[in-house]
Parts: sequence; structure tokens; C-alpha cells
Amino acid sequence: MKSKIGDIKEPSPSVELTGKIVSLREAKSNRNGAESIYHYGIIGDDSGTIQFTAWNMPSSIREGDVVELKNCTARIYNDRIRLTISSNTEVVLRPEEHMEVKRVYNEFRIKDLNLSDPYVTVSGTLSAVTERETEIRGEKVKLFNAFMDDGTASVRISSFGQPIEEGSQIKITGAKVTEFNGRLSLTMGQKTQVEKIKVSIEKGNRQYLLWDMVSPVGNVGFTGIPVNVSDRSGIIEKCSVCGKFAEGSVCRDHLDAAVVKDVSCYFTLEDGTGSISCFMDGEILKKYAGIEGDIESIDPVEVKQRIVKSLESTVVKVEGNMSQKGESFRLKVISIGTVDDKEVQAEMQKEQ
Amino acid sequence: MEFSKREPSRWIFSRELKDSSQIEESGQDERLRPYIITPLGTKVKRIMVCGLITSATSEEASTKIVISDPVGSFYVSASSAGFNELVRTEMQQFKTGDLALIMGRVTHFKTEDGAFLFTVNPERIWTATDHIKKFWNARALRIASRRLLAIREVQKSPNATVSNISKLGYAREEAEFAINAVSKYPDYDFEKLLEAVSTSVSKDQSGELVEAKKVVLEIIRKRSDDSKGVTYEEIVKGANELGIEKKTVDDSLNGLGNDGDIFEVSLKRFKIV
Ligand SMILES: [Zn+2]
Repeated sequence: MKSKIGDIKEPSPSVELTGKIVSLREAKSNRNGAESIYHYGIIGDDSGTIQFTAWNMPSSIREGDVVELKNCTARIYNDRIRLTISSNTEVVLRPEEHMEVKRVYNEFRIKDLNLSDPYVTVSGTLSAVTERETEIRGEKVKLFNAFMDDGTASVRISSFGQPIEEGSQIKITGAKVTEFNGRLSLTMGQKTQVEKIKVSIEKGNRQYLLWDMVSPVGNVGFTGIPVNVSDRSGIIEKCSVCGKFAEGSVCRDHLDAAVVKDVSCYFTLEDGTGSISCFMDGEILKKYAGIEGDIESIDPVEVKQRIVKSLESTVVKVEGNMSQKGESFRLKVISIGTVDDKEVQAEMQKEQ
Repeated sequence: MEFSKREPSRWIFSRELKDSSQIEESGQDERLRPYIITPLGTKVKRIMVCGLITSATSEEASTKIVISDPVGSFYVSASSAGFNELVRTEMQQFKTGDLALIMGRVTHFKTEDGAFLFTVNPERIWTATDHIKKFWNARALRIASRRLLAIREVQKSPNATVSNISKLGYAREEAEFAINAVSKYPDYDFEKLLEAVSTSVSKDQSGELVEAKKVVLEIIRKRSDDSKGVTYEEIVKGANELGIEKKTVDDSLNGLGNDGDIFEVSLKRFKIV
């Protein structure tokens, strides 16, 4: 018997359904040392959507295709019901069928956004809006990029077609959570609903414990003890054109460009609940480590020592933008400071 | 470069480790160290601890340190073998009475009567301040207190899952740990552990300040004949001689001012009320 996707709530060894592939992604698995490729994504119909993992996905299937599935299994994985498409599953393309997918948009705080809940409603304030033209399937579309902040964190947002305004406070219903360069991102299309609202943003409440973080978001902070200040910390050379590291005083992309000296450091922050790799450079690092004047004239060994000394065996409060590489989170530090006794006292009062 | 997840250091009190009796092997690979599952459900491989060194001994083959937190002690041991050598040399600089911050991996040993003994193999050791110790205490207590709340939720619902518990506002790992605690230590008195830890930490955190306030008040009293009062510099110098840091002096002065024991005659000059 065919199931409606919205009705699949319990594990079942054999499920039959017709649905539209809403999203389809490829991943590598390394089970027992053997590497294999599998797919995962979301399939939906007019009653709802469900996530799937496919160990055998016919290569002809694309996002947007309507397919009929026979003999797939419904299992609980990570406390959610999920479909598994295995070699026993029959996958038949139904190009003649048209299907509207019912989407449920759950409301999320930016800090809690994650790729497992890709269709969301989010509210926040927009900043750093830029606008440019791009082409989608041969058609010219205006693309707006900005950051959205709701007081819990910030996230990059891209709007295809719909204009968004600098400083405006909006609620968007039906944005899609995606990942771009290791960072979480929101995408709005023509159908995404936008309404102007008043967002109340609580200031100064962005200090989290590391294990509370589910996704790489921006503008969040942690308090902990830095360990393992990397050997690569100290004076570095950067390309004057692109700002990237210039190894051996040459930028690989700009061979003729001049190089400029700067300071940078990597360290691991431990907060008792997790650890995060932090990167810090430029004026923030100089100010924090007490490196003054022309760095050309300071002994590089001393610069390194000052950086290490300023970080190791101290309690620091950092804020920055997170990104994700593999399973690990990283933080580009945008502010750093020490913690006073009052804050330690406040830590004592928490959860008591 | 390696992007696999770093095993984070757990900040747990010595008593939580000492009461542990559950070991979980980490998969097939025998080189991987097992996890120790503590009574609060924490999966421990690496810990970080800040406290007072109560014993430091060095022999030819190994260097040992006992470091205390508000409820007990951790046993830290570095042998002369292999990569431990560098940290062992650093360890030898520490003596009884020093404050230290230590990060290391925990190894376990089962005695003939089935009890577990735990030793920390240090990876790094740093000189610590009272400030770091207080922060470590406060954060470790916050984590343990939040765990107790999660454990209570698990106890309330026999079919608790990570997802149910995390929906109540706990991190996924925290929920997993709370479920571990209840399933692996069904007879353990979680409330009693937390009460002991919390009382000891509170005492430890405020104790020093109480002591320091007494000392600072005494300094001001002794030198208070001068109607101009005692200068801040004199107080700091006097307190330093008795082993009290400037930061603690500042806190003591603030506290004494708030309590109405002293007042500021003029800028940075203090007198007894
Ligand atoms: Zn360049």
C-alpha cells in the first residue's frame, strides 16, 4: 500500500510511496576502510517531507524529479524518522507526474539553524546589503547579499530577485538553509514571504558553551582557556592585492604583487564542553598581545613569544564568526578580551 | 592538516572521576584509548584541571604531582618514556603550594578487588593564577549542575532519548551524557555528589577573599594613625608581602568599602570607619 509522506512516523521495513526529490546531495562514506559514495536529501509530497539516505541512487535522478519508491525502509536515525533507499529498493522515475510539495516552515533562532531543517522562518535585522546582477537559466536576476542578525547569532543571506533593505527588520517565511564555504547561509527565492516586523534584539547575550553550537554561524562568543598556540603564529607575509598568505614572499595568484607583513595566530580554545580552533590576526591580535609599532622592526621570535604569553594560561572571552571544516568548528576572532572576577562570579550563579 | 574532531578536554571534579567504574572501549582499534564514563555520564579521555599542587615528587623514571580541586585530588604522572619527556621537564619546575593548570589524558588501572584507579598523563602544564582556578571551578560547577538538571529530566521519563532531552534546552552531547549517567549508574546518588561539589566550591571561591579582606583591613588599621589614611600602594605592598595578589587586594578593598568597614579619605587613600 502506498504511504503519504506526512503519515510516515514509525519505523517500517517496507514503505512504498511517490514523491518529489526536493534536495539531493552526494557524500562519501568510509565504512570499514572501504570508501563508497552515497546520497542523501529530502523527498516530499502534498502531505509533507522526509529525509532520506540512498546507498543506491540511479545516476539519472535529479533534484525536482518525481519518483516512485518501492520497498524502502523507514528507520529512526538521530531521533528522526528517515527513509533508507538500499539495493532492494525499486526507484522508478515518473517524468509525467507533477507534484506540489507541502512544506512546513519551522521558526528558528539563527543560532539553532541547521542543515537538517532546511526550510525555515527566521526574523532579524539586515546589514551589509550588496546588490549585483546574476543569471539563472539564462535569465538576468538581481542578487542581494546581506547578513541577518537576530541577537542570538548572524547568518549570511542571499536573496534572488526580491530586494532587501539595509537596516530593515524582517520576518522571512520559507528561506532555505544551505552551506557555503563551510558557513551556514540562508537563501530566499521569489516565493519566499517577507514581512516587515519589529525585532527585539537582546544585546550582549551571545556567550555560549561550545557544545550548544549546532552550526557554523556568525557573531557568537565563548569563554575559555586557550591551549596549543600554533607554531605558525607570529609574523606572516600577506599579498597586498588579495590579502592571502604569501608563502616565500610570493602570492601564488599575484606573482608580481608586493607582500605586506602582518601578525596572525592559531590556537585551540577549550571551554570545558568542547574545543574550537581559533584564528586571529591584524590589529585585534596586535592590541591584545601588546605588539606596538612597526612590526618590521620587531624581532619575530619576540612577537611569537608575546602572542604565546598573552594567550596561554589565561581565561579569554572571544567573539567571532564560525566556519566548519570536516567535523571541526573554527572561529575567526573579531574581538577578544579577558574575564574579570565579576564575570567569574556570574558563572557561579548560572544553572544554580 | 587534520580536520578530524579534536577530543575536547573535560572539566570535571576529582570526585566525579574517582567514583567512575565504567569503561567504554573506543571501537576496534586497540591503539585508541577507551573512554571512561563517569557517574555524571561524561565520556572522558582528556581532562583539564586547575588547582593547588599538594605533592610533587621526581624519581629517575617518573615525575608525579598531586593536584587538588575543592573536593579531592587528581594524580598526575609523567614517565621518562617518549613524548612525555618535555612535559616531564616542565613538571619538575613545579613544587608543593604552586597553582597549576594541567591538561592530560586519563588512564585507568583496575585493582585486584575490582576498584579503579585513575592517573592523568599530562600533555601540558602551566603556572596558574587564582583567577584561572576560580574560573575553572565556576565553569566545572556550572557544567555539573546543568548535568544534574538533565539527569533529573531523564529520571522522570524512562523512555528519554537524546532528542527529547535536548528539546528541553540541553546540548545533544549533554543529553547523551545524562542518559549514560542514569543507565550506567542506576544506584548512584547524583544529588549528593552535586551538593558536596557545590558546597566545597562556594567555600573555596569565597574563602580566599574573606581571608584577604581580614589581612587588608589589618594593614589599614595598623597604619591608620595618619589622618591622611593609607595609600593604595602601601596596602598592595603590605598584602603582597603576605602573598596576596594585587587583584585580590582590589577585590578586598571593594568588598570592605561596600561592607562599610573602610572609606576613601581622598583618591586612593583609605581609612577605617
Ligand atoms: Zn594575491
